[in-house]
Amino acid sequence: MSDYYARMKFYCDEQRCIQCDGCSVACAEAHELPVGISRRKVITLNEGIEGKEFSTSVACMHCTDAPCEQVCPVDCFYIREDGIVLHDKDVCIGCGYCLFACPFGAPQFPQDGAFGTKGAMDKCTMCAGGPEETNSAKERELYGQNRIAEGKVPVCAAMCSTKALLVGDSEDVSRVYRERVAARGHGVLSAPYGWDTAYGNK
Amino acid sequence: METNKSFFSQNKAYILVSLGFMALTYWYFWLATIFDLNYVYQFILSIFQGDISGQLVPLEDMNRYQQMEAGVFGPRYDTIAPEITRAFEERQELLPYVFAVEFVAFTIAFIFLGRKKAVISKPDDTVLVYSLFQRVVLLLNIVIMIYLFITGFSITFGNITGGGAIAYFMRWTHEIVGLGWIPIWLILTVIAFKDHKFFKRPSGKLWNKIFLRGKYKPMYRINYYAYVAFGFLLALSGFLLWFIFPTAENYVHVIQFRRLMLFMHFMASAVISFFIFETIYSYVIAVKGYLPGLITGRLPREYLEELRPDVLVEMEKENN
Ligand code: HEM
Ligand code: SF4
Ligand code: SF4
Repeated sequence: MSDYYARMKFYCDEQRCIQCDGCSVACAEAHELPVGISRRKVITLNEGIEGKEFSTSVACMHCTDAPCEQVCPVDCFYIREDGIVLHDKDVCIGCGYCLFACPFGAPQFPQDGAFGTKGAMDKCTMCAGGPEETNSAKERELYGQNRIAEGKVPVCAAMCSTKALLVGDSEDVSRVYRERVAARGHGVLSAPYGWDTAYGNK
Repeated sequence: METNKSFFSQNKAYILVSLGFMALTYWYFWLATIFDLNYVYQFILSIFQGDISGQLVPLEDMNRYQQMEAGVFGPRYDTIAPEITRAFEERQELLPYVFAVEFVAFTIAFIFLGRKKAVISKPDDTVLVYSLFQRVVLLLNIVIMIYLFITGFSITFGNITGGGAIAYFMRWTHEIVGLGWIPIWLILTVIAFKDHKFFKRPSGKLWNKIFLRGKYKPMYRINYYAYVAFGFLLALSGFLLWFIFPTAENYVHVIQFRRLMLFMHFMASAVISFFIFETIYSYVIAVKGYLPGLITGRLPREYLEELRPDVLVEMEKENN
């Protein structure tokens, strides 16, 4: 499948997001995430202020030149050819440096070490599993489903009822974004939100 | 007392340590150049005013795009975070030089000063210098500091440990043992307070068992002050890093603060490493026979007469 997807990216259209939380609930259910871990979260701003309220959904953006990968002291990240940023939980020491470096607050930590210290990092895998054998029990336990290997769309975007949350090859996502902005007839046609930070111009 | 000593030789310890500090400070500023220093300054001010979020411009004053950036992803990323990314590699490369310089400095000290030795003819004539309480505190302190040094830098030099279960164990025990060190740090800060100018030590048998005896020589006084100051920074930043557990909910409010605390923790740990070396050097290498004394609490009278007369003087005062 990764032959088809040239460069996988996420985009959430805040004009369409209705704050239903479907994406983050679907993610938590599909991957059986422990309590306290939210790989994807929906955030609402200007709550209650009429005309100004809006929501958006964030998870790991799978950055180009991912900052998390650059800081990880034990080098446990690896970046797939299609741009998906993954990491190895057996190597991770739970230091939290990836979170310091991440512009999107994506890395999550279970509070399962002794005395409430951090456990191994967990983050959105774009439903692409981890370094274990594809679809093995261990992969599923540590990283959740591997939907990409089965040719499926990541569960959050598949679930999104208003299609605010898009995922796919960067060309396709950009095209949809351009069409939407043109159809609305207002707004500046720059890159989709967050893309500058996550992908630079790549 | 000699009176014709030069200024340099009288204040050698202070001067050399200050020079070392200037070099380190220069390095830190250079590391920190990627910070938006003005932002960091304003941020620190706002922390003292009770706002740790680092969001200096209120969200209401922003346009939608900026609101999204600040409200969802936290305060300005490029003011602090790139330091973490860039300097992380640099400190892995540069710290070994800092340690090497420190090592060479102590080797030179050893070559020139040698190992002090007291001539002891009556090894059985000993004096109880350290109470059990003092011994426990002093020894626990040095053992814990060494452990924190090793486990703390095992994170910085994770490329050497390569991660995995042992490195993970060292990391989380660093946090817990660090918490345990905080009271030890506090107790030692109090019982080793020897510059009596501003402080009247209470007299009495119990206090003599608690406060350490003797007077500081310059290098020991520097060591003590550095221990107090940088220990405080380490304990504070380490505690806050542990206490403010990162979650999806508190992310926007605490991430910038945690970044600042990590930088502070790292800086203080690089500085205190010098004084950890210095303490080990003075316990184990500089003077023969001191470490056994620290363990049993007793030192031969002749040892004290030759090397630590200040302690004997103080003990005599106590008995009168
Ligand atoms: C002698 C005292 C200490 C030394 C030498 C020391 C050293 C270090 C070093 C070198 C790091 C890695 C910093 C970096 O590479 O950026 C670190 C991280 C850390 N230290 Fe310490 N430290 C000390 C005391 C403490 C104390 C008292 C605490 C309190 C709980 C603490 C908690 C932490 C935490 C939470 C981290 C971040 C990594 C993590 O979240 O596990 N440290 N320390
Ligand atoms: S969003 Fe964060 S965790 Fe994901 S690739 Fe970028 S820096 Fe890494
Ligand atoms: S928490 Fe794990 S993945 Fe993140 S930087 Fe530390 S070792 Fe790497």
